[in-house]
Amino acid sequence: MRVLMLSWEYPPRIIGGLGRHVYHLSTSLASLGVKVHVVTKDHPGAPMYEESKGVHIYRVVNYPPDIPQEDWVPWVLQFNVALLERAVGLLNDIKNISVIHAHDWLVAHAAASLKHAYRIPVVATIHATEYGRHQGHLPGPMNRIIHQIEWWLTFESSRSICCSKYMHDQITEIFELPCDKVDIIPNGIDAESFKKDISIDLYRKKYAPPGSKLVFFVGRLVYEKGVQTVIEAMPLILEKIEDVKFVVGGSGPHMNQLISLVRELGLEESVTFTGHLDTDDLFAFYKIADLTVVPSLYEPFGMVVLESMAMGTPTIVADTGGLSEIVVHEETGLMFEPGNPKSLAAAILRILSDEKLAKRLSRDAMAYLGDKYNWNRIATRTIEVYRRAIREYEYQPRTLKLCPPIPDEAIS
Amino acid sequence: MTGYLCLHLHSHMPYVRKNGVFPVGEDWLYQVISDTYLPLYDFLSRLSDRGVTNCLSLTLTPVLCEQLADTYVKTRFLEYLETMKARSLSDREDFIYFADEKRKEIAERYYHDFDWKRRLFQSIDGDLVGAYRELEEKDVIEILSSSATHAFLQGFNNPETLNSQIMTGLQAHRQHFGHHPHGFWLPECAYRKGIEKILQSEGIEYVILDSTSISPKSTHFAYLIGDSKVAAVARNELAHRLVWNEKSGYPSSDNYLDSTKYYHSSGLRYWRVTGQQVPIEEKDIYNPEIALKDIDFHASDFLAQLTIEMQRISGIRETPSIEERWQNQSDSPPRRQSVEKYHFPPVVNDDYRGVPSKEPLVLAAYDTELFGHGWREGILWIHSLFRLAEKYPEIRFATPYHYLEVNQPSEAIQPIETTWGTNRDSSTWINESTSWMWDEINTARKRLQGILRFEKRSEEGVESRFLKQAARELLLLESSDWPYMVAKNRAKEYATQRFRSHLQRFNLLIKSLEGGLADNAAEKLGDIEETDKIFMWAGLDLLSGESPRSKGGLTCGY
Repeated sequence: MRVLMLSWEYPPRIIGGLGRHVYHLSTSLASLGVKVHVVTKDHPGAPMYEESKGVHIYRVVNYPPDIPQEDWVPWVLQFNVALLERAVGLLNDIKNISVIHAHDWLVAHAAASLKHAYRIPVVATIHATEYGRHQGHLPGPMNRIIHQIEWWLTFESSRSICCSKYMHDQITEIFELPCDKVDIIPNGIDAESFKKDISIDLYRKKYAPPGSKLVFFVGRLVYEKGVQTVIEAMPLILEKIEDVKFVVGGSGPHMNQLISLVRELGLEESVTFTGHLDTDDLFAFYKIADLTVVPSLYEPFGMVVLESMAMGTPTIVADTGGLSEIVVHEETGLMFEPGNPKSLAAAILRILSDEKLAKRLSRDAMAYLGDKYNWNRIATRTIEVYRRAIREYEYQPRTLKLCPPIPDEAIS
Repeated sequence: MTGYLCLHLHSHMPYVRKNGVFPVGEDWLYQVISDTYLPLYDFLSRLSDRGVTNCLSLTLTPVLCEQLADTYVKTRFLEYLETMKARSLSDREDFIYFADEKRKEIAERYYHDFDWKRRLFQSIDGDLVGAYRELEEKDVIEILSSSATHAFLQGFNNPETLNSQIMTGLQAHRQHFGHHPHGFWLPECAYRKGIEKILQSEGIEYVILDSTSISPKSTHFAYLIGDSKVAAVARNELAHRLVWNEKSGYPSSDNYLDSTKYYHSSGLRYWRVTGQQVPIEEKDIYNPEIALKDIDFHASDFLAQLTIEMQRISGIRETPSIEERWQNQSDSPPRRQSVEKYHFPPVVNDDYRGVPSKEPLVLAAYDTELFGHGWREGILWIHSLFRLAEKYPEIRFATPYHYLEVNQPSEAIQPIETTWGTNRDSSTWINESTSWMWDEINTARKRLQGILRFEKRSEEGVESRFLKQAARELLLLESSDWPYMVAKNRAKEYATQRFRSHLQRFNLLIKSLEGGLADNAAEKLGDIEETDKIFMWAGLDLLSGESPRSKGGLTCGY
């Protein structure tokens, strides 16, 4: 089987979790004998074509003129034209591509036009939705357009893949998508890379001197990741245990607001912003942290939870989205009410003050991870989705007048 | 629930790889893959996607599996699809030129259908055997084995033939499907006295027989054969006739695609049956939408008829006359020309008294190739059976093994040596026009045995390769297909020529051994091995049936 994979990021270009996901999926598919061709955005220093771990990677340069990233939708459309140009050449050269796999709305136009021009079924992975990223609101015209493109991608796709029951329910509801067209395949982690040995002394010295406790967060700093909830919980924690540090890993548009919040609450001593973390830093922090907190208000899946669990760090998650499907409360981690600092503080205090509980949670979490989130398994299930898409594919000419619905409550 | 419906599809193609292409030869296999095996896999996968299990059982004969798993066949099949795509497009051009909108549309359908099949085939990496294996692993289907090259077992008396055919067949099954089969398909439903002893010792739990074989017992229950533990389930006559009757069976319906009329340049079909009496030049153009309506109709009819049958057996319903049956059916199918044509065969005696505690079964067994290849709409018809099943709560789908698990037979019977052929006897395969073939096979078998028994042999070296290939040629000679084609005058020349060429290769191999190996012998052997490349993994004992066990004097009742 031969697959054309469309993604706006692929290593070394890594923007969020999507790029890593596509990388692991593509290489695992290749190891199972699937021929994978990835077309993606260029990256400084990366070749325009390479074959890496059995995956053929083609990189494309955007068309002129330079559109600033704030003009998000025009930028994406322009990128899709470049994507299309490369993919057309590829499909003409390689006749037997059986399925196109599109990752998120960022490649929807290229995927749909290839589908109609070549009559090849499209499978779409919906990593996240605009509706979800804004907690059920589509505040501006751009958000609505993105929402409609997402709707249209699922409409054009023979099958859609999402990573959790939560996302399944969300996309079947907001995109009015038949349940029968959606498959749930949880994300995976590359367990091997978590076995790396890293010297942590320096980190311990700098961030968690002896006697102090360390609470760790990592992620893009955007509102829906909920870091503000942790900062608001800090005074409540410090009342009970004096020396607790909170390390915020990652960067993002919400950083400045978070820094002002820390100042307002006078927590400069206790909260540290590290900025972007590379892999080694990340592993070191998981190792020295007493617990990882995932306070998201919206989280389709929650890769951080899997990473933290794989590293043996006790994990506290907000009871939302995909997080509550991975973590079993009181068994593999603790949960708290999303956005509620009191609820969070109570959970953090329990783990920091009860070593037995912390050990039990992290041990059971590691056991539970087992092979459930293993990439080989995910690739095998993805192949089944491809096969099903191919079997069920019947050519339908492109419908000219489509009006993607916008949920009423999302605009008000 | 009143009874079980076991739908069994017997899939078999004689060995055609590298033995001719067109009109008979490899093309035949590619047509059947394209018309039947791929669409059937597609349909079963759809059931599997919906979590349906225990749908139906299939025989996939060893000789078929060997070909389906072959790299050369896989590559050539893709080429076949490309050829057919090109032909559909060229037909389309013709119909545009003729301003024939209807046939142009059908040609386009053909094109997209072939392209879809290409993608489907590539999505399973050409591994149809593996695809069916996965379906069995998911409990969607049960796969039965059969004799290695579909030998008509009633035609053989010596234990070596029976052993080699059965054991090579079972070993092939294990190779392809990773486990031992529960059931064994006796080619042509030809029960042979004593065969159950070999099958039992090989771990086989049941066989499928013709209805006549267990007469006067009812086909609605399972039995044990003789004093063995092998169970017998028999084909149901009603189910057989509803589909198979040449004049009134479902496939002969006026709206279905006519299988006899081809477009001259492509070999593709564009006409409907139109009517039994309609001469070939007056056939109407096919209309797929209208054909679709008949499919549901015929599926409902089938389920309704079987429901009545099951109610009758369970004593819920007094046996109605046939006329009553048609009257009770408000929507009597259009295919029937007259009621008189439809009658129960006198051979079947519904003597089901005495076994009341068991749930009845209807075993509907057909050639798989009828569906899709012979009867274009056939797979859709099976699809309809499953879709409409919920309206017929008395019927429960099951595989024979599943049925036998809950209804273990206790009554032992001695089956009669009948077949599912014409007159239900062996005359289709063994008759005046084929007796020379049987003589040749027997002579060849004796020659091979002579060499094996009186000369020392080893599993290594070039001599053993000669012997193994000779045993393979003998197995290929034993296919029931050749006498069938000769007797029925279906591609008779091809069958005769195929039989003679295997015989010739066999004789050449034996002669080379007897006369000491000539200089170019190895080269010739290589050519023959490449042409008749089947059971290449098997050892000489298995291929020749001369295993230590057979020397122990395993006889088959004679």
